[in-house]
Amino acid sequence: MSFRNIVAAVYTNYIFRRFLFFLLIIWIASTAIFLIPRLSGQDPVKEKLLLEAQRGGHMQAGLEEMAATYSKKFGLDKPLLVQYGNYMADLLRFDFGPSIAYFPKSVNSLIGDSVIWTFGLLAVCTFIAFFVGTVAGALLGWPKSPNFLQYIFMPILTLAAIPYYLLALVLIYIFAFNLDWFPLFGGYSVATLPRWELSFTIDVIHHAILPAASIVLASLGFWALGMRGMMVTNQGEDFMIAAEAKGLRSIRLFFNYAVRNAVLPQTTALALSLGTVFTGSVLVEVIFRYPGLGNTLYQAIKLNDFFVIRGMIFIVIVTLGLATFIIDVTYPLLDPRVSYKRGG
Amino acid sequence: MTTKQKASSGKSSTAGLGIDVKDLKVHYDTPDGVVKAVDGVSFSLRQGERMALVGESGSGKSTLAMALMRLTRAPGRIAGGQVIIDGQDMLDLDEEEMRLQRLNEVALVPQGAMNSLNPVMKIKNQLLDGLYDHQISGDQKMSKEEQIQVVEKLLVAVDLAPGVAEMYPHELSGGMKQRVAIAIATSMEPRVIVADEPTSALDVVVQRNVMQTLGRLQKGLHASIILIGHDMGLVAQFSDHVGVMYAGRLVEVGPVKTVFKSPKHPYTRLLIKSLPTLSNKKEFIGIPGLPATLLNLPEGCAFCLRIEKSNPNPIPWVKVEKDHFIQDCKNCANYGK
Amino acid sequence: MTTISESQDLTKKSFNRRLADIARYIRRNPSLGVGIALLASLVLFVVIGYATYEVERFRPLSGGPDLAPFEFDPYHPETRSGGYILGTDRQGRDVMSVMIAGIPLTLQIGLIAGLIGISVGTLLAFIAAYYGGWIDQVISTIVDVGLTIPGILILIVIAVNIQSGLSVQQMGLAVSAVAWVWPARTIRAQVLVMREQLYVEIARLSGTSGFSIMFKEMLPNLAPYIGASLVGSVASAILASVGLEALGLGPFDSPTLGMTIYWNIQFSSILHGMWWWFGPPIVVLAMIFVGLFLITAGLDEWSNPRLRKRV
Repeated sequence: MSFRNIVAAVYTNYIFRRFLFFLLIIWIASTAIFLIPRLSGQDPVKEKLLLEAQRGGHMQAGLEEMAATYSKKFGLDKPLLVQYGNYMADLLRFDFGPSIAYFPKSVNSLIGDSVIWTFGLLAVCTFIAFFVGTVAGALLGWPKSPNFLQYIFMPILTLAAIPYYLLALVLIYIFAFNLDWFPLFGGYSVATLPRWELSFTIDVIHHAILPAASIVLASLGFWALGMRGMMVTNQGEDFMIAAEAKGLRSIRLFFNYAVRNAVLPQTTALALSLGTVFTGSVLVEVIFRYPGLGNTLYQAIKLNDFFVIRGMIFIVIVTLGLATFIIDVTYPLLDPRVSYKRGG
Repeated sequence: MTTKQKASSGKSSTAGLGIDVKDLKVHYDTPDGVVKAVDGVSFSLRQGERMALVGESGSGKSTLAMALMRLTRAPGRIAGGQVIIDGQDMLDLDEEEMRLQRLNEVALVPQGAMNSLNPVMKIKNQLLDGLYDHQISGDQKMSKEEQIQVVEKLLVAVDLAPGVAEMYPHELSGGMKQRVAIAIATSMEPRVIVADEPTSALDVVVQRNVMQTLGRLQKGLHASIILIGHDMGLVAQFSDHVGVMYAGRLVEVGPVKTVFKSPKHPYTRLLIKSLPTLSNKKEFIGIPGLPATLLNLPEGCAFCLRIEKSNPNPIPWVKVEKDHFIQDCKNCANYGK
Repeated sequence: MTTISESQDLTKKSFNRRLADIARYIRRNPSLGVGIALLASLVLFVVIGYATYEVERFRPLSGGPDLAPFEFDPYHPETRSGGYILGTDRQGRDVMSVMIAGIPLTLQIGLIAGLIGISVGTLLAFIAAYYGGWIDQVISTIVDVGLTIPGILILIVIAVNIQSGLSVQQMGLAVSAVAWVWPARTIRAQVLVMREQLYVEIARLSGTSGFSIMFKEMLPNLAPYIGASLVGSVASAILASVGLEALGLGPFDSPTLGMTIYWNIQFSSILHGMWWWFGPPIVVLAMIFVGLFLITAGLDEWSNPRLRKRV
């Protein structure tokens, strides 16, 4: 096989193309993060470092040392390309440098734990919300469903319009402050140490219920609405009418014809919405002081800890890109019209 | 393997009649008024005969086809009449009974332009699932071998290779998809086949093949077939009888040769005249005016309105000769002669 | 007796008849009506507020801090014996004033970002879908990347790097930088469908220029859909801006709804049970979002007849 053929064969492979897309996302995002601060002509990071040094309250010596190291790598006296090269090299090694606020702790150590908390919370919440919402939407969009379902679900659907954190505030006030059923904040009880024991796990779950509820209740409606819309559209499709003409049973029509087809755009929507889910959860974490990425980001913003902010954003984008990639790659398993080879 | 439920109502079977439609009405309720899409259509077809229904767009042909299978969807509703197959009025059955009648007694071959196959299911499953849902409870499920046999038999009968069973609809050409539709429609040996423009959107050569396949299977089953279409040439070659629809009403119905040679209703006359022929090179003659709007259509002769006349009296359905009926409106009867 | 031509002349309708049609449609489509009502009542609230209330008190230290509604203000004994309608916050702002002043600011951000987002998005969508080929590939890829990267992260990067902090107008502009992405994608999908329709084909064959076709033929047909997208765009712009503000990256001196949420979080108003302080912004924001959502649902139903529940 000639080189051209090999390249062509690889490029037409669906998985490869989605992987390229994943790389593209990371590249564009990191370049944007690199360029945006430099648009003003100054280097705000250096400015901030010096500003913090002036304010005192942080370790003087450490900051000056940091500023020096920073100048060596990214100093404005260097050509842009060299700065960019150094920057990308660091990123690829996941070296985000030290935290400005907590010098000399590295950014990685700060981010490390948060990732697990956020990931756990969001994965569970998204899964529950997607599943329940899709089922609800499927039932709502099916003309033969009992009517009372409409009444139950309408209020939930309206919740979809409200951002997660508004719901979080309300839930805290009612259930934590007034009724005292759930803790007001934190990922686990104050003054306990994380350990792999049942009691700790229960404590974690207890703390996670309100934040999870905010996210699930507020995003459920979105899934339900989407699925309902798809089901309704499918009702008018030719193959549904033809299937009815075959005298098929309602259940078969519901599952094999309506739901099976409506689920496809739902899955695409899931891939696209991961960013939104994360965005919504940031403030929820802040409100609940949940020890996740969102909260760490918030603290970093308050402290102007630019390296942490940058590192976190990069991690988040990589994670989201990866999740999208995984969903993209499994999609052809659901939809026989999309094949792993182009034109196949 | 497949079981059939013959709906027997205890009435004496109207001898030899495949389908008997009496005064069928389909209305749509709109905020601006009632649209009478099908306004009292009656015709009957003997078992094994072929009838075509023709007319302009908006004449109500497709609505009628759907109504025959009780597939009318909101905001439309069947507002009256009878559809009698094997002595049983289809419109009298409840939902579940009607479901069992579909595919079993009366089957649909959908429009050629439609995507009538489920895009995410393999062909073999689409051939089989209708059969599954019609089994009397207590029957055994088909074994793997039986399934393969049935599917193969159905595919071969419509001139498709058995390998098609493992394919998905998007891998098939238009003609192949229609053959699958025909295979599905004939899989339970129905008494009546309703074919709603089965070859529209197919190219001419494929059209011919598909129609031949359809005709062959219909003959083999001795089924009655109602063919909806607007391709008069196709109609002339395929059918025994033809019915002409206008504004939701049947204006003429009769043996195809007679209706084509000497049409008795002015609308039919104009329709035939407007057909281009290979021999006579003449001017294109259209039909003047626009097709009637079915909203709040006044009583009386719809065609008179088209040629800017009026006859508000109820028009009688008159037998001109054996098997040949027309709407007899004296006012416009001689138009276009 | 009416001739066919008369009975079919549906284009001539008197103005009154058209108004009646619109009113009747709103009755049949409750989402649209309720949504518009919600937003209209907020606008009314603001207008009446500016006319009757002392809005200048949105600044800190306008009154004594931590006062519950109608509680007497010992720091300003000369002003009110009846207290303030919605009390004051921890920094002495009159909560009612903050609401009256803040609602238009937040809506303004949404409108700026939404309008710019829709305009840019529609333009790119049309160009990509109409011309196809590599132009489409490039634009689509950029749009897909933009959709996967959460906009708020880019906004955070932008906001953190602006030394002086953002003004309300600047927030609007910043948010518009990410607001164009979603409309671009959805409108492109619609244009792709429309491109195949006959009237476009005919226009192209008769030599009409590309831009002319796009704006004179296709755009008017997409108007209801673009309207729905605009409303959605405004909603997500408000969502993004409130999110940014709540994180502490907004205009610190402005009483926007997002900043109010920020101060609420900063001062743990919930832990102090200051329901008059966190309640109103939540209610107002809920009204805004639900209202916009219902309008979008209503417009969706209008432009997609299949979703209509009643004819």
